[in-house]
Amino acid sequence: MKIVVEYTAQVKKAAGVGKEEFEVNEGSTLQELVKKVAEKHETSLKSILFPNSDELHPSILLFVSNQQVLWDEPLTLEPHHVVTILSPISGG
Amino acid sequence: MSGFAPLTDEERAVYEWQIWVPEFGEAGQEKLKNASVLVSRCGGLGSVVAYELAAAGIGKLVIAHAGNVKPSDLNRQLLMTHDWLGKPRVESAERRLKELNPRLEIVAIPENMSEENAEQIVNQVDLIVDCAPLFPERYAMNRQSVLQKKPLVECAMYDLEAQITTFIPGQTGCLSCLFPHDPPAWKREFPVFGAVSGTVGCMAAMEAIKVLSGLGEPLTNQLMMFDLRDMTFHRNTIQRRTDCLVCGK
Repeated sequence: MKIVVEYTAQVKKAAGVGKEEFEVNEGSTLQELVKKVAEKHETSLKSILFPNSDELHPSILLFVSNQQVLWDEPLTLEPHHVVTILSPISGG
Repeated sequence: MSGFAPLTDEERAVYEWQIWVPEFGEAGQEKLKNASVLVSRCGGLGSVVAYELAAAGIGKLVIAHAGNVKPSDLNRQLLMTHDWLGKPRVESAERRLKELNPRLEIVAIPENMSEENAEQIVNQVDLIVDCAPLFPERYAMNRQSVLQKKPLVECAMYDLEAQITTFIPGQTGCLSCLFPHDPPAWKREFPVFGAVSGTVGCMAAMEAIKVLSGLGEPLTNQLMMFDLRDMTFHRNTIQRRTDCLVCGK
C-alpha cells in the first residue's frame, strides 16, 4: 500500500521535498516507515531523525492523520493514513 | 496590577469595535485592561504580539529582549526602526508601543529570558507569550509557566511555515511534553519573511486575548501548523507525557 509522508521545516529542507509516497507492506508500522524514510535520505535526513541510535530523536514529532503518535507507541499503518514528520521551530 | 480598574469613557471609545464582539463586550475589555502579559523576545514574532496586545488594550506588558537593533532585524521586527539602529531593542519597542497606546504600562527588560531571571519576570504577569529563538529560553519560561500555573502561548516560524499552541497548566501538557530535549538541528538564524512571523504573531495575540477574557476556545492540546507557501493549515492533536520532567506527576 502507498502511504503519503509529509515533512516540515528543517526535515523538509533535508528531505528536499514537502511530501512523497512510500510503498509499504500491509501490517507495516509507523516506526518501520520512519526508518525507511531515514534510509532513503541517508545522507541528509538520517542524522536529524536518528542521530545516535535506532531511537527517533525525541524532539522530532510524528503525526498520523493529525494525531500525535509517540515513538514508543507501535502503530500499524492503514491505507488512508497520512504521516507527518515535524521538526521543532522557534522564534527570532 | 493592584485592584480592578473599570473602563474609562476614552477606553470605551477606543475599543468600541472590539467591545461589539459577541461574548466579549465591556466585561472582556475590562479583563484585558486588568491583565498583564510577558512577551519575550520582541523580534519577528514578539513585535507583532506586543503591538496587537497594546492595540487591544492590555493593561500591562512586560517585554524582555537583549541587544541593539541591527539592519537584519528590520524585515520582521516591526517595533524596531531605522533611526534606532545600534540602540537598545527594548527602548525601540517601548517607544513604539507607547505611541500606539499611551495608557499601556510597560516594563522593558534589556535581557533575554534564562533560568536565572525567569522566576522573577514571570511572577509579574498573568500570561506568557513565548517568542524566543533559543530553546533554553523557551524551557525557562515553560518551567515557570508550570510552577506558577500561568498560561503559555507558544509560537514559532521558519521559512514560510509556522506553529502555534497554547499550554494551560492543569489542563494541558507543556513545552517539555512536546519537545523533551533541545532540538539538535536548530540554528539561531534561519530563513523567514516578516509576513510569516506577523501572521503567527497575530494568532498568538488572539490566543492571549481569548485566554485572558474567556472568549472562544483556545488552541489547547493541539498544535496548529501552517505553510504559507501553499496555504495549507493543519490542526494536530498533541499528547501530554505522564513522564514529563517538568509537568509530569
